[in-house]
Amino acid sequence: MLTDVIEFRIDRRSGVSTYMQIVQQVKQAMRLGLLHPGDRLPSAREVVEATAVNPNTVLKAYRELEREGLVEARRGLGTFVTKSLSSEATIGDDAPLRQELTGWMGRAQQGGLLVEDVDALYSAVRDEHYPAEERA
Amino acid sequence: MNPLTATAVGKRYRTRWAVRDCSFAIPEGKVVALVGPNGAGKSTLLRMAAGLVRPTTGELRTFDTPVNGRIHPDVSFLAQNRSLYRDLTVRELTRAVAAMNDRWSADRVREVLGLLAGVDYDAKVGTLSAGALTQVAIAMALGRLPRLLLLDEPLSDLDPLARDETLRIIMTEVADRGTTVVMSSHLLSDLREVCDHILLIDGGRVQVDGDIEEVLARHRILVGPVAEESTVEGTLVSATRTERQATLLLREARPAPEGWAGTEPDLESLVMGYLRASRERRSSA
Amino acid sequence: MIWASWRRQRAQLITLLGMVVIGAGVITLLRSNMIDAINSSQLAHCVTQAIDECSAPAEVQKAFRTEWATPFQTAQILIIGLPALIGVFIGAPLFARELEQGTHVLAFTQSVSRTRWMVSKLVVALVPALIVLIVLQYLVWWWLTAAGALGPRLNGSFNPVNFGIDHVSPVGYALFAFALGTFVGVVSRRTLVAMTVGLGAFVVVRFALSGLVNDLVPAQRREVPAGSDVDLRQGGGLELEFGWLNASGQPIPHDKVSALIQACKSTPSGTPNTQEGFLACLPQSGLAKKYTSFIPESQAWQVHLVDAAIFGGLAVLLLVGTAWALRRQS
Repeated sequence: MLTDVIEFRIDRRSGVSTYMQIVQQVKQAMRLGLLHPGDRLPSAREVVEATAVNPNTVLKAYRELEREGLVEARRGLGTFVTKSLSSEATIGDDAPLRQELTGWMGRAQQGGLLVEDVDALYSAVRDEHYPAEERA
Repeated sequence: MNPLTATAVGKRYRTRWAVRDCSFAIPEGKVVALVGPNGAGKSTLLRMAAGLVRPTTGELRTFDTPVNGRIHPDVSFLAQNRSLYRDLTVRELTRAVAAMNDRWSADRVREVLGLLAGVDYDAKVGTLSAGALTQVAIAMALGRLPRLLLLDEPLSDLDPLARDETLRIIMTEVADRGTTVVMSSHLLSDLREVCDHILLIDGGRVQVDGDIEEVLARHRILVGPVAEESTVEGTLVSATRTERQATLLLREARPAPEGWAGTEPDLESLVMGYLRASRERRSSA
Repeated sequence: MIWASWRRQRAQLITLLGMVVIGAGVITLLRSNMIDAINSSQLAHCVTQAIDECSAPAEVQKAFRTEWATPFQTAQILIIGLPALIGVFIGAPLFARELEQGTHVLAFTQSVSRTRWMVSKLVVALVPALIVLIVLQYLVWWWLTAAGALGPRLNGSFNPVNFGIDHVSPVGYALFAFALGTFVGVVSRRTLVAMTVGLGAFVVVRFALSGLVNDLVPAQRREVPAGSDVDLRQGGGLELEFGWLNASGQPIPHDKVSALIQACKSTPSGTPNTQEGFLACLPQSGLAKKYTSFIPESQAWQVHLVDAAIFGGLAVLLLVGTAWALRRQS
């Protein structure tokens, strides 16, 4: 079953809408190389059985992904990934950027930084490089 | 064709109006959260839609047919107290309810009862846990193959696991058959994640009605200095004020003026704002 | 639908079946014991003959009556009380319990109409109850008939107790009690209220209307001259009126009659009158004829039919009321 490829984890306390969480999780799975072009996304029924969310929300998230040109709905068959978001830079444990970040994270830990400090640092630097309006 | 429409519906019990001048239309395929505090009129509204209670004024229509003391063949109703024959076994109950219906899918009932842990067919209905009882009641409702499912407090009295399982059964029905669902709760948090449409009732009147995303997009929460409240443009729904700071919930708001911070409200604060406004209107009336 | 109603009333129906089986057994046993007792006391000929033709010694008759009085009364009370029991335990809870527990909502939100649901419940509850009543009533009649003049039959068909357990009257009362129970149940929505109010109302109406029936059946009238010694009273018939007429056939008021009769009991000189003198005095005083209007015992079946029609009619009205109230329930 393709449902084994990706499973949505809906965090009800996050404040992020279910619809956004699904969109983000699909994109993340695509970036991390967990979803390839040709893979079928879980059907609304499969998602509902696993997480008790509204199937309309799942379909709405898929429509959004389709609008962005990432997936394609095929009548009667399901929704399929059409594009690849993964690149050499993000795939696998040995991607160079990932190795650099791993090294940085190790130094932060040795330096006695708490997880909150790391998150704050990361967000601050990220926001510097990717201003809010660009991300939205 | 809307599964459910209300036109100026009111219901009076002796001197008290339980529902007053309610008008709305539920679009097909929506999962509607009917929310409001206890005694807001949610149950009365659902019971009127199911043909159990006759409105004092106005008219309710299900699938474009006036509800006239009888439930529409395409509508199923789950009562808050579950109203099942407790002295029968699950098997006997299934047979009894099937006999009361022209259209009945024994397969659908078996499927729903088989979901999750499954229900023991030979257990007396009265001995079932609250969760299993709700599962049986929903199975009976779905055996009618409804296109509109009216659920009165489907999650009350349920522990978190049973709550999740009940929602899963309902959402599976929506995924499988595109059924329109209207479910009531006095706890918004119960329904927040599974509904895409909100119908907020208080004091027997509709306070908010619409697609949740659209409703949220139409509103703004503005925080700023009390002294400069007059510079804010939009329809004020409700406000809380301290000595210096005002927090305003606005409908159709213009962009926030200088010195004010504006955000889109989350559903909880929107509902709280409307309930506060409704309470103030009633206490001043 | 019928199955669903049957399944929900199963316990009650089993109780009814048990009542019939036990009742039939007990009555059959009592009857055969009684016949043995009659035969061993050589009272057999007293069963069919009038009481004054019964040649058995008075103390033997008395002993038999004393011994069997309690069983006879118990059987009569059973048949008198059964309609009330049907009303209280079958009619009253039928809808009241559903409304009280909210289970009517289940039926009201299925495709079956409220009226059909009501009719199926009524039929499943009422028909077995009536069958049980009729069977027990027949068994008691069969037993009491075997006792004949030695038993309560001696008092005639119009004795209130005998009348209440004969012919179609018990069925009429049962229909009425049942319908009254269901109606109060639907209106009050409380089982206990329906049982108590239903019972109270049944007892009141049952006795309030018990005399009404006599005026609705055509009575026979008989007149005899004042001096005649023909007995106007009919054995076992129901006398409705008795009085005196003057020479022109007009009834004479009762107080005047008693004054005139008193006057005739003594001669003008003040000495007590002779029997002949008394009889001769009556027409002279204006008391020309005695009359009576009565319903003969042979017409008792007509009275039963009218009685059952009255209570049955009330039952129909109450059932219509029940259906109306159910349609308005929420």
